[in-house]
Amino acid sequence: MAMRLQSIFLILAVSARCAFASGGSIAGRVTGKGDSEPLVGVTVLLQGTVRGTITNTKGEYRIAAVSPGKCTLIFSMVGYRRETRADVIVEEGKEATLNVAMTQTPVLSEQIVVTASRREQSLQEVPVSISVLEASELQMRNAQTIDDALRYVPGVNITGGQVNIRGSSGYSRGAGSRVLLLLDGVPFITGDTGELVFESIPVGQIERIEVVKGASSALYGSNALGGVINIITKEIPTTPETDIRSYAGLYNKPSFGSWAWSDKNRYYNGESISHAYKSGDLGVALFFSRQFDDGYRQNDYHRRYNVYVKTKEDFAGSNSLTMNFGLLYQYGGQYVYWRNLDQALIPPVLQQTDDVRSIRYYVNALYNGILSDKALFTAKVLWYHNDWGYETINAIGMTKSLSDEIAVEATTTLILNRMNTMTAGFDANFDMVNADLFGQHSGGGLAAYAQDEYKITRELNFTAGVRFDFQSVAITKPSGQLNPKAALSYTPLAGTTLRTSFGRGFRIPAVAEAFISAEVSNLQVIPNNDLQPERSYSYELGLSQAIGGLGTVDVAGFRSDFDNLIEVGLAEGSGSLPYVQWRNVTKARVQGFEASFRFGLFDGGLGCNVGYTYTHPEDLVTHEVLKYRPRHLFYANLTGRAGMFTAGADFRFVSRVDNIDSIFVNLGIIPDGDQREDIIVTDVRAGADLSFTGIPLSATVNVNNLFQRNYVELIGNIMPPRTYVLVLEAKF
Amino acid sequence: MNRVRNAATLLTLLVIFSTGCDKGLGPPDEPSGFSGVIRFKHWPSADSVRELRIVAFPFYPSDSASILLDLAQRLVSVYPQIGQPNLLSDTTQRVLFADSIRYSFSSAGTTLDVGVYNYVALAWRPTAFLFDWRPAGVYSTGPGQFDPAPVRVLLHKDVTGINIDVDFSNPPPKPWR
Repeated sequence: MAMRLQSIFLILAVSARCAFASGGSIAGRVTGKGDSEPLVGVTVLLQGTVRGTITNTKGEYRIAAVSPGKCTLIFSMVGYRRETRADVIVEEGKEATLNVAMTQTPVLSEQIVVTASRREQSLQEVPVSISVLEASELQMRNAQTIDDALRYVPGVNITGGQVNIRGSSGYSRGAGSRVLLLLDGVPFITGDTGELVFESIPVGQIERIEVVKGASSALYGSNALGGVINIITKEIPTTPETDIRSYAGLYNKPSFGSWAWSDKNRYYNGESISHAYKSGDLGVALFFSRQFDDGYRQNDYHRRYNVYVKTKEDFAGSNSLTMNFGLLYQYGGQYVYWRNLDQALIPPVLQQTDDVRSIRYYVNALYNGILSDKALFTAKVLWYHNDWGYETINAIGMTKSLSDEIAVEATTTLILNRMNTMTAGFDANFDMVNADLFGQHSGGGLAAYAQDEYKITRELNFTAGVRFDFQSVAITKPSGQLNPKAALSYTPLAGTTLRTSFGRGFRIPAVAEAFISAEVSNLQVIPNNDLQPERSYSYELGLSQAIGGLGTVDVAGFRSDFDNLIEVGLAEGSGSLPYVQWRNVTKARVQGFEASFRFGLFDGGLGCNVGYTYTHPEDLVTHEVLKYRPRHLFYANLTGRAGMFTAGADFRFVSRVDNIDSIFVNLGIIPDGDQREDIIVTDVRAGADLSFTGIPLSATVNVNNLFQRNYVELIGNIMPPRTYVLVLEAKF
Repeated sequence: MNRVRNAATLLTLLVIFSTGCDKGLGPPDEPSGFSGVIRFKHWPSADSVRELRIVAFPFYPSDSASILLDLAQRLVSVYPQIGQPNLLSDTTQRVLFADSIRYSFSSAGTTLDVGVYNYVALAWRPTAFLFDWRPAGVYSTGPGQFDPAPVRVLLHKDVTGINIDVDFSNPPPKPWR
């Protein structure tokens, strides 16, 4: 199957090579103003076209197959002022040279994002709220998995490994997600449980993470109710690069003697090695990592191995074919909840020997073809295989689950004229599930979408789009969905952007939600063949404002209305015991506002980000607060650099959630499950660049949960105590 | 002026960063468990009482072969926990040859969980052989009775009055084959 797809892509690639090898080219070098150091990763765009590239490790760039005539180039990178060079003359068959020096402005970002409209755009131009996490932020926090880092994105919080963007999601006991995870733009959600398995994506190979806040089904289909997380993997550098990284961490002893359950110190450690090189037009990146964690709780250990291979073949005319392969193998204990608050780090007796083993792998292929200066074509295929199961007899018996998901999509971006940019495409997906808990199911979906960005005036942009989905995956009755979107952005002054948007979202229930059949703690969990898709409407009004050289402020008010919201809960049986089931239970509304500030202190010597989000998540039927939605999120971080030294600190406040799934507490399944408090966590770190020793080595020490706050994100689950981590990294 | 503003901002942030000093959640004041008095009669010689521990089985332990496995899987709760000094080493009261002692078997520091325990007994190791255990007394339906009575451990409650009568000259039968 994969071979056949690869052949199709190669044919496309070769035909593209033949068709678009004419015109001239532009090449040059981008450096920092003042120090003349090469700048790596600068985005270079040919204005008014779909052509662009990024600078390599020497700061060099080259854009081929440029139509002869005058053109304008735009250079942008985070932390630097955008540079525009107009009237660059390109002649047929010749290469124009353009070197650029960029000025550092630490508090002003010139971030390029791709998720808002399925094409490259400046962050300031997009009409929706997007946060971006750079690879450097993942590294400095030594994030083991992506959700570790997402905890510091304004408006985002994590509950039991599930992502909640602006109150859209609560916690659904491992089934379904109201946030869509994309891997290089392709949906990356397991076929059986509909989960986001963050461990499948090695953090060391991530270029950046884009988080779109608000319903985005008009472009991405199911699951994008609350937002989208797009993981962009690293580009292969033009010069060989090797990276060796090792870390060792120690969990502090529990705060209370009665919580101590092991006489031994609890450690976690890991290593990764990656090598990337380019030979001619072919680039290859190889990555391997190992992560061992003893766990700070009993039977909460894991052993994890990741393998990742990326190849990229460049063709003439800036066309390319990229293939990715990722493998995750892990096993470990299964800690679901505590025994009680007296023994908060020990699971109930029946969970003490639960082990889970999983093998998950994916292959994807991405073809980028430039049809002309005004037309870009991309095609993507993904096969995602998941195989997991309990190794021991446990509370829900021996279980095993196999699932496969195949997704195919094709997108075209057309610059129709100076005012209109059209993005259109289709996608299809096919799922197969064979699981002890969920049964055998297969299904698929087809979708088509189109979006136009209309530049009404130089300051005013209007975007409208619509997508139609036909799905027959988990639910028994096939259904169609029409999801529109509309957005307006207005930039009256340089540094000021007003935006407003409307979008519709929907989510097809996961196989696990519709078809699970099990018995847990003497309670029957039964399937629901009548489960219907849930829907949302999102609205946002926002303002982004640069404040002189001090920094930027972004404020936004938002509201989402949910219909047919799916929740897990108790239902009354006919004369028998109550049972657990996923059901469409309610209408809900989440509204609130968000403010974030990025500014510099001491002439930019210290960078600071502060974000606050208030949400009011209300069940419109019962008028209760929705479960697992905190009302207040506050994040702050400080980062400083002085010569070879760096230092930083993160602070996180998440208010105590008002409502939980209390049936698990009332029935005595999770004793003391109602015990929860505000989450107040401070992490600190310090690092040094040790390359003066002649070895390209850096060292960082992180102390997480500095004040050893004992808190839960999910009921019955104490989060890690203070941890000390030493990270060593060599790059050459 | 700028330096003052920067310093004030930095100070504010540092104050915010240090607000997590409170410890947050902690064990409740009242652990879950049961307590009572153990009344002894007819003590044997000291070298015939090597260890005394209270055991709580959620089920009636009718099969000796599975007891070790149940212990390993922590299905059986033991006080004091195995690996820690036994009741004879109690520093708060003299146990050996005492007429009675008070005990409190709680979830703090043991594997005792909330639930029903159908067999609660004082386990006695009379010889040097580590696996030679027998019941010395059982929590029963009445004085002089050997029929075990259930003990229901409630969350954050000390269930009192779980008294055990021990007559070393007339111990209860081993429940297992």
